[in-house]
Amino acid sequence: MGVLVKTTVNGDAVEFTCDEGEVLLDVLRNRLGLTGAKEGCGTGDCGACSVILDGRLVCSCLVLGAEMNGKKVETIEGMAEGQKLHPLQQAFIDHAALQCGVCTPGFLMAADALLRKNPDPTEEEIRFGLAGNLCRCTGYDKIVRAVQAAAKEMRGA
Amino acid sequence: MQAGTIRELFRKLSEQYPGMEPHIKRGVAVSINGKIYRDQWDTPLPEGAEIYLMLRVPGG
Amino acid sequence: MVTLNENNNPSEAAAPTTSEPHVNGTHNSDLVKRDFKVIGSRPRRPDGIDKVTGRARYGADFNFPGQLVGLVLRSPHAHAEIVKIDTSKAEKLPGVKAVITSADLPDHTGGDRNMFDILENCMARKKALYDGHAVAAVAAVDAATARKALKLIDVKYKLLPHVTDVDEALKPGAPLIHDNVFTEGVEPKPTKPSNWCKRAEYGHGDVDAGFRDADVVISRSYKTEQTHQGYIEPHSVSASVSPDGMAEMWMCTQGHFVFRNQCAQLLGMEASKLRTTSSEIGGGFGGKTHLWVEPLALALSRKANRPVKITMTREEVFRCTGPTSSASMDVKIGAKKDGTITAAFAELRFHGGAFPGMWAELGAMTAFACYDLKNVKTVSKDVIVNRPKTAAYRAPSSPIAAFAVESAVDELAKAIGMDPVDFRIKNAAKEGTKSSYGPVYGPIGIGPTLAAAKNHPHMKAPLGKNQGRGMACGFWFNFGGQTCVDVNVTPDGFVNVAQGTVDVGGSRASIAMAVAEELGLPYESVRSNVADTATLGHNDMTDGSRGTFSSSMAAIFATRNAIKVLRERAAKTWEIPVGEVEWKDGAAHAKGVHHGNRPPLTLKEIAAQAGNTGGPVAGHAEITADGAGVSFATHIADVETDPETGRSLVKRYTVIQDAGKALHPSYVEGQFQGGAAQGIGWALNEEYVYGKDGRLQNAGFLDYRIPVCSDLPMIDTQILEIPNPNHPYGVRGVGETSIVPPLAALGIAVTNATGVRQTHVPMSPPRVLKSIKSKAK
Ligand code: FES
Ligand code: FES
Repeated sequence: MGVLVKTTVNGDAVEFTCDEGEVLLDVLRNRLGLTGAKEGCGTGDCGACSVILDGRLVCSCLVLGAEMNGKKVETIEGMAEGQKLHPLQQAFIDHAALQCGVCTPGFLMAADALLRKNPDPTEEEIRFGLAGNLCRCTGYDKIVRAVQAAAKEMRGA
Repeated sequence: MQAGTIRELFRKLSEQYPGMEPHIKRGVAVSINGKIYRDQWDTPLPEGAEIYLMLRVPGG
Repeated sequence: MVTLNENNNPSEAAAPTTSEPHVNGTHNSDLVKRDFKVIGSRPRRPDGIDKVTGRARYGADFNFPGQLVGLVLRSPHAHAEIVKIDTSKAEKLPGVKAVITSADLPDHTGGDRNMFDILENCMARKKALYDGHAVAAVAAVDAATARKALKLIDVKYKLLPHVTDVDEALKPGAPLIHDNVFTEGVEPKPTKPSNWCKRAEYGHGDVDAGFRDADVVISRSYKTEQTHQGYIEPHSVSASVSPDGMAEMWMCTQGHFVFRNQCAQLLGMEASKLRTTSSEIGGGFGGKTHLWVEPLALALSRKANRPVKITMTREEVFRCTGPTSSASMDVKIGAKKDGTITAAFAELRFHGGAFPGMWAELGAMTAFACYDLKNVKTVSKDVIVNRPKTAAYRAPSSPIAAFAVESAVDELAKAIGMDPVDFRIKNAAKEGTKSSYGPVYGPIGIGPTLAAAKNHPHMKAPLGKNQGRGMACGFWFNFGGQTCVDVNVTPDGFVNVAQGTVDVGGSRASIAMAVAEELGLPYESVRSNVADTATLGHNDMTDGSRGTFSSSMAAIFATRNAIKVLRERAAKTWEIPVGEVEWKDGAAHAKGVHHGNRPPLTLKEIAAQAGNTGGPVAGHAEITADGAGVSFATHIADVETDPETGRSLVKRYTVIQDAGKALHPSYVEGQFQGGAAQGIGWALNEEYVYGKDGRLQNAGFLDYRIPVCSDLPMIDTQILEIPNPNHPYGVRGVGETSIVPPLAALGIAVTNATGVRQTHVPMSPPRVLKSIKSKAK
């Protein structure tokens, strides 16, 4: 039946019980009330459900909640520090990098993961780094520019 | 046919050509001098205006 | 308009008798304002923080207490008679609270064919008409139980022959999908039913004579495949019906008022008892203007007496919502050696999925709308096939028709040895042109977009190996519609706006900007929210590029009404006549020799005193925002096509479009870029693939590939501002036209890169490779 899982979500110790086959996305959304990660496909093809798991970008619709024991999960809800937005979040607003915004949490997670690995990516590296995330509204132009601007700011340039 | 507004035009058309009524009910747009009106039946038809009845176009 | 198509001009008959000036302000061109403080700037959007922090609530992010999970059983067959549905086993499963079939959705449509089609599309009645057509639905305590219940529903189908191709469906002997559809628009009226639901014809002049006058005539056939809007958020709806008949719905939609009206009609309810709230919407592009599961959620909730939530899977989204038509077209255009087009003809065959549509007719109207033609004729054939009911997709049908026509225009320009831009400039429609769909144009933007394209540096940039450039034009009507807005001044001196059009692309920001502009306040003092159906009058959907156009117009009028109240309050406070109070820069100013030295009364001060000057301060406007103004765009595209694989990559892309007036330029650019990207996907990759069995083979993002970040370059935009005289700020709709030119622009670019005329989109690698090989032979 249910599996008891102890994990860390956005720095907080969290305990939950979930079904064996239940994916992390459903745990986050339905059990923990964290609906920032979205289900666009449920098959790992859109990136709307992206979270950072032990420092690695994953599609939360593809990993099991039951496997989260002792892991560190970061979601969009933990990205801002209190009132202060993360530079990526601020850049997305300033550069109008979102229209409907349903892809935005996934893009922010993916961009965060990218910039942690590569603080000074080229346009091409950004485009390939974000190629696992679908956006149907923007044509990506403003998203790429927002990531470039945030990267620049984070480098203190 | 004389008509001062879209409403009057539709009324007179329906009277004269009963076959038109269902089409008007289902939705017709009117082009007055090139501007398309879909709902504002009070819109006056200016003297000598070019009037067109059109398909009511859906959008995305 | 069918009956008038053949001779589409009743203007002589309708000699108008009056010419009273129009008073509601929408048509008074001297109201077009030119100096702006807030409009045209780029403030942050009010929903921005919620959307970057994960707080924003979309369709699936909402739950009613005690809600059940609703799931839908769908036909695996393309065409089948439903002989019997046995739900008894499913009903007995513990945890199942309701099972519904079409028997639970009796026909309340009163002979309204369009509404009946919606009803039948939401739930199959006697026959399943396409792979994915709903046949039953369940509500259960959890998803696992609901899934089990679906398996226990026993449906007996009798398979019928099916047809999914538009040309096949027209052939004699094709499987008949509806036995009550007789071709409209042909004389004499057919006595036998067929899949051909409608014929229409547009144009003027004498095309035969025009072709005889031509020095060169080009004629060719084109095809486009079916695509999906591809919004990232699947449909989701939560419905709660109380035993007393009151109901609430939360859903993602482009028009919660229209959904309310339609759901109420289909379920036999009173609209006033159904309160619908629109969630944040994760994209729509036309796909969320149609009902699919919403009536089912209501019917389930009514039967189970519990709230029910239905969220579609991506597979369901592909199999049963959305798509465009696929199409097959023949185009013939003739011109003189000097570049004058003498005649243009097109026949367009589009399917509407499993129900009658008017998609080909829309194609026939838009096909030649960019040009000034003496002799033009288009014939449309709307066809029914065993595919999901076609839905509007951004400037519906126009990109398809433009692909064929613009490709032919390009070929013709080349054949007479003229530069394709110059050729288009020579034949472009202008003020006074009789459009190919009938009306005569007022001031329009096709010429300026072409001139801008001609002078654009992109046009002159050098091309590399295997690269080609294409340019193409596009047209869309745009419209307005019923809209209302409330502007409320809060007691602390800020402003709350209630709009009824769903915000799909940033309209809350644009509307707040318009209100701030009128009041002379900073943008930050105004906040606009989307109101639910219980708190505002009816609003049409956000479609046809109308959202910002019509809501900003209503917001401006509502604000002007509020300003009138503010002036009255100031007059009362000062005890002077209201005629001596004017409003500017966020405050009332007394004028004239007697009062000119009074310090102004700010909005804040008036708001604080509102209680003793007559109560809360508000302004309202209820309008029909007609006169949206047609819209044109010109796109330039560079591609590189690999001759070995047939794969094309977009290297550079430029969008030039008339916006009338860009309220918030960033969101206008965003609309241009987003539409272009969707068009690029359609042109190069996206298509529905049906198997011989009539089943959709690629119902997922893995196999239905929409462009990703690494597929695209930056998309340059150039906003032209040719004010629309029918809007107080000159705004035109901008949302749709940007998807019209890309199919053709890329088709021409790939043609130039490969040396082979491309006639079939998407230009997927195998298709392009085949075209290259067949030419080599
Ligand atoms: S929902 Fe996980 S990748 Fe689409
Ligand atoms: S902003 Fe709508 S999908 Fe990206």
